[in-house]
Amino acid sequence: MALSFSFTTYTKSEIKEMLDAASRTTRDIKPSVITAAQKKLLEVSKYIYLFSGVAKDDIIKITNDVKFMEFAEGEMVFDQGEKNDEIFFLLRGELSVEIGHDGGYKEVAHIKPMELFGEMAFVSKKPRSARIKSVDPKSTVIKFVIDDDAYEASTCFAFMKLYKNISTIVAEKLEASNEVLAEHT
Amino acid sequence: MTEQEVEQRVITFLDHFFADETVVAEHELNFLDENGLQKPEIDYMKMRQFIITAYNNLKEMDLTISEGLVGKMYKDITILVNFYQEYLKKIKISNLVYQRDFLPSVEEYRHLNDDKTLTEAKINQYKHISVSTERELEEIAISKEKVDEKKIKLLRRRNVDALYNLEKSKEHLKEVAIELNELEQSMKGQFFEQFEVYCNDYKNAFEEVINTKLFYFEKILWQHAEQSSGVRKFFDSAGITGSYSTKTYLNYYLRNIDIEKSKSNDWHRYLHSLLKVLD
Repeated sequence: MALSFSFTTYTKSEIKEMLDAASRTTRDIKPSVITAAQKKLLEVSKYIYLFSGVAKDDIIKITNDVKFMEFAEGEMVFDQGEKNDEIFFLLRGELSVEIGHDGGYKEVAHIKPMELFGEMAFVSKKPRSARIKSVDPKSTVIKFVIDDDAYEASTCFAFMKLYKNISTIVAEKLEASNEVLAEHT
Repeated sequence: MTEQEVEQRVITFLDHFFADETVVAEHELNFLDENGLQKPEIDYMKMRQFIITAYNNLKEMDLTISEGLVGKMYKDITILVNFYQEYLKKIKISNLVYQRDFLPSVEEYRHLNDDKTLTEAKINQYKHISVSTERELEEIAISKEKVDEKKIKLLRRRNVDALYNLEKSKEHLKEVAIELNELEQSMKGQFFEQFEVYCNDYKNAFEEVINTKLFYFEKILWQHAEQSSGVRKFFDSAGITGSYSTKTYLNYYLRNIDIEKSKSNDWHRYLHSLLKVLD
């Protein structure tokens, strides 16, 4: 008598999907009620080139640890040589960029409101190349990190955009450096 | 029959009896092995009922959950579980399998049984001849007509032959019955011993396959659930916190289950026992 059982066949990609699903860490449920800091980040996202073309819903999905931070005059946002992935956006006040030089520090630039900074450490994964200090009695920034663990089918397009934007930022910085170099040679 | 001969016949029979199970178990175990699908540490067979409940509830939140790989795996597991349940029914009636299927497959037993049936038929036939002959002789005795002596002799002879053969057949039937019983007893031990070995092997194989496939199904199910806006909306409005997983959903389900309305407390007890499995 013929066997009364129908076998199910799976494609290679389906098996890969099973293996991937089993190895991934289950993500926490992100409540739809967003924090004030996240709300602000969405508000100012139009000024952040990093998020250009990334949907607001996706910005929430791919970012983590979004917080407001306040710094009094002389207080440091981060120090030169520090290692972390945090990215910052200045909302109010003013910051100075200083690089260690001859045993002291030399101010090389100022950061004005609506400017993003610290993103290079996220790209290079190297220690901070400068220190950032508040030069205003009260500077307010939004701090956030890009959550690489959020990479999945529903966010892959957002990540693609994000990395494309990063490559543009890096290219522009490289061009600017080349111009400075050309001026000094 | 020697012990080796009995063993050989038992194995031949069981190989045939479990032919379908062999094909399915080998195919499924090879599938797991070839694709590197690992058996989970947790007993997913135990969680099956709740995983299916979660699947049905998630499907209500978003019908597309049942599409693609999730739906395909669900059907696959359903087929496997049905096959496994049929298998459990099949092995439950081992005594009947022995009497109805195994014994008639043994040639010696078949011959003896045929002999028994034939002898029983002969006994009935001789009884009939004897009764009818005696009745004829009685009718002749009370009859006033003159009957040929030769015929009476012939009838008496026929009756004696029938009675003789009847006794001989009865003796033979007793001998055959004893032989049949001896043969039955001599194979019984071996049969049930081997039957248990086969049953355990297939039971373990099916449980491993279902357990493993359920594990991957559960992972795929929650991955798809996490990506579904319908599910996210539901979790959000229900205030479910934690992760998109069976454990989180089980906790939520337990908080909202109406014990009074639930058919029995068994389901409630079962759900609580799952919490321990998942911890």
